[in-house]
Amino acid sequence: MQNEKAKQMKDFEYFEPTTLSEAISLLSKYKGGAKVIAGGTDLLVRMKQRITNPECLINIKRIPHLDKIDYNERDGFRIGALVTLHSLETSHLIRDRINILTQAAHKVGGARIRSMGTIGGNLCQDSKCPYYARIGGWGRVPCYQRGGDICYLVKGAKSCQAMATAETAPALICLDAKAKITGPQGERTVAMEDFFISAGVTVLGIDEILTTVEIPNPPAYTTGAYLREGVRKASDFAVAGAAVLLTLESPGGACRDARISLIGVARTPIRAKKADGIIKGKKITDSLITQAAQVASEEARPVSDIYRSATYRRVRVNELVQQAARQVMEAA
Amino acid sequence: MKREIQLIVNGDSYAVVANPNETLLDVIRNKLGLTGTKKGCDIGDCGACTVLMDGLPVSSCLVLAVDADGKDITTIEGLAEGEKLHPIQQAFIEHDAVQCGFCTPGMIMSAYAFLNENPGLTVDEIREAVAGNLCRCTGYTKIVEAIQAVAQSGNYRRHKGSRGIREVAS
Repeated sequence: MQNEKAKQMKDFEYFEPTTLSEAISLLSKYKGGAKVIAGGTDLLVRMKQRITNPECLINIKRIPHLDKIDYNERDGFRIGALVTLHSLETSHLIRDRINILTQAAHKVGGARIRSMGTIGGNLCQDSKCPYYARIGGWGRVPCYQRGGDICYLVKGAKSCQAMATAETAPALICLDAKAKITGPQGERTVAMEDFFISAGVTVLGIDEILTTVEIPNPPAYTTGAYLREGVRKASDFAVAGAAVLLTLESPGGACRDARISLIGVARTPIRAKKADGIIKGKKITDSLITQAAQVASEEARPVSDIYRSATYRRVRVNELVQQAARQVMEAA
Repeated sequence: MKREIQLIVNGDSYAVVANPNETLLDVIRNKLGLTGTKKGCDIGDCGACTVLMDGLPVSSCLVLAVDADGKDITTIEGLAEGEKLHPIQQAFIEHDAVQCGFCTPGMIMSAYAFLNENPGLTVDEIREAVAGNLCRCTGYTKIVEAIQAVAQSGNYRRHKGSRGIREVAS
């Protein structure tokens, strides 16, 4: 792909603050001209492609306590935003209690990305839309994601239509996770399903930092699965992903609660609430799973891009929901 | 503004002056003269620039040199002991897993990192381990065979210096 040739990154100011408030002051001072760098596996690519050109990079990895996984039975998990995907996928605590997140973390990118990439970075990642990131960057009218007023995916669209790719999100949404955010005004907490606005755009203000992902202790008899399809066979972002989390009344009993969340089939990670409703409260049968998956695929709102057609994404997400639900039932 | 940093590469300490916008890859190759690590795509997709940092495989093209200050870095040059090749290197030669050789350092570093964490491997797991390393010459079969041979022989030492996971259960 010659048109995405990497260049030497433009020069930038560089800071390594040791406190959150120092980092936030810097963000405020640069008024949007500064970017936080954590793992760098997303940001530095955009900088080499000259799509993102911050005047200033703020390396937040020297701020203590942001890379810890804390757990207790009462409060559940507090996962620092700087916890790497590798730490997530190898954590025994997470594997034993919220295994759906282990599965999701393992499927992000490839080993090299997971070594450096963080959960915070995964959630705040930039759009992967090919028009914005590649073709759209080279001498064409800028698209919405680049500050312009056109979307190359959907003619006449009033906003960016690129699909979301933050792959830890569906599992987190199923788990009722919350994003803890710190800014000049202090802390605020946002439900994970409300954290995203469009691909590459979250509720974070220019001077706010995502610091923690909070996950309540799941109820007894809760099992989950996350399945996905990438662009390539490996080491690439998802074009469709489905997280299914089921809570049973008892082992082999009826379903007390069902959560289905999807990625790659809408502008943000979405819940499939109608599909949840098909399963919740009932004894789970194969045909119920098939029905729920069909409803979930209808709740999806994919568009076609150069990677996959909308139809393909919709069909795949139907299949992935079914597979995930069956995997959960076998493990439950 | 340039910074003075210390890079610990293959056990040797180097004092380096680097600009924040320089990558670890560029510094390793151009300032330290360690050209075994290759620049392919420069955006983390091809794997040619794979090195270990604190025991984990990373794309050195996506690590700022200033961010690698004080970290334990292993490049392909760090695998052999004097004249004695590492078992993975030896296996690549014996199994004809090298043609032009450009992807080879990255392949070997990825395999090395993977074998450190996963002693018993199936062919599928090996393929997944090097899935992020692209090869334009070989078609991968010989590469997988070489790694499989090493995995089955158990004839390698685990890498020291892996970064621990910090987790607290209270």
